[in-house]
Amino acid sequence: MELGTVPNSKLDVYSQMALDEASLLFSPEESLTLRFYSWSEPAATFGRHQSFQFVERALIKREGKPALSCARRITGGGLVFHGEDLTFSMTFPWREPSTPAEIYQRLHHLIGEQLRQEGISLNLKSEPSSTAGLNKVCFSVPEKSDITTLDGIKILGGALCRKNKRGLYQGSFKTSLISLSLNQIKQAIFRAASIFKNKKPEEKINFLDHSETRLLVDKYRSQDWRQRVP
Amino acid sequence: MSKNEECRYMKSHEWAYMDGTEVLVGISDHAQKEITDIVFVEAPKLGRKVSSGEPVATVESVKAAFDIYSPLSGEISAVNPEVSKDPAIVNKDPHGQGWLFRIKPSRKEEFNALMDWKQYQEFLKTQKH
Repeated sequence: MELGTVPNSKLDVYSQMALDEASLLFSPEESLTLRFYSWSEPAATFGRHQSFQFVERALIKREGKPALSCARRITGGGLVFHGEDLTFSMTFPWREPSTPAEIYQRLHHLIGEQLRQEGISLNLKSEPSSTAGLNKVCFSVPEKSDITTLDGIKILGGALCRKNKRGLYQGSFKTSLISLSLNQIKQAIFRAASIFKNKKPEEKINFLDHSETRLLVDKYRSQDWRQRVP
Repeated sequence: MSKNEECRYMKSHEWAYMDGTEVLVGISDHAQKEITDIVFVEAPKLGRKVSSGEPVATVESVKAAFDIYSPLSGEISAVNPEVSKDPAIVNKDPHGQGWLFRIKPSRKEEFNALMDWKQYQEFLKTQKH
């Protein structure tokens, strides 16, 4: 089975963020969705409450200019540079009682188990990061429950948000750090998602033509959204 | 400040406390335990007109962002500056110093439509699985 072949899987950062939010808002309440996607150009996403000034400084430090396409996510967490990663998102019913740490740990544990079954050696970081605060670059330091190589280099990080009774997980996977094909990694994530909610994820979701999604694209492009935390 | 028993509650775990002509809003102890260590509170803008059930604020913990909903329609008349400076107050004292915002309600009858303490306790039992 080839995964991640849904239409519109390669779009700009604003459209991808809008599609994730649309999946969260408009999928049936009990559904589990999984979407793999990539980027039409190098891009960055940053956490819901990160300072825009911090993000601009980080972009200038890395790129020499703040011109990289970047969007504020609705999920928490840090700044992520995309382009060479496998990006994916999952929406699911967020049943109580489930803390974000429990969901994050369980999902990453399941993905790690599936990768181990493919012969990959890895760690699930058990200790909290020593760096505090919201303004971080995601892959610079592994956080608790991130998947890392045996020598501590971060492979998978993610972020969450909850709206009403549904959750959104957005993940970034550094595929170059493990010796599996892209499709093998996708299969492992797909199997982990199935175990996570004990149901097969819906993958062929496409909200791009919805008028509500077009409004969300406009939101992600807007200065008001990007700079809402100065 | 607000006593648990005197508040009304939403299914999304916000509490509302009638304080004179205004309503004080925060999240319940149950909610703060679910959300865990809050590291950021984004408060609504002063003067914003809101509808009941509308997401008006967000909090963040452990790389997760949570919407906070308005229990009543009306106008945001105050926000708690202390929780912006020290978001952990919401975890420590969700019904007291950790209040989030005040509303000048436009439809006071919405307050009585919210769950009372006893109903909220019954509702919480249905949420366990």
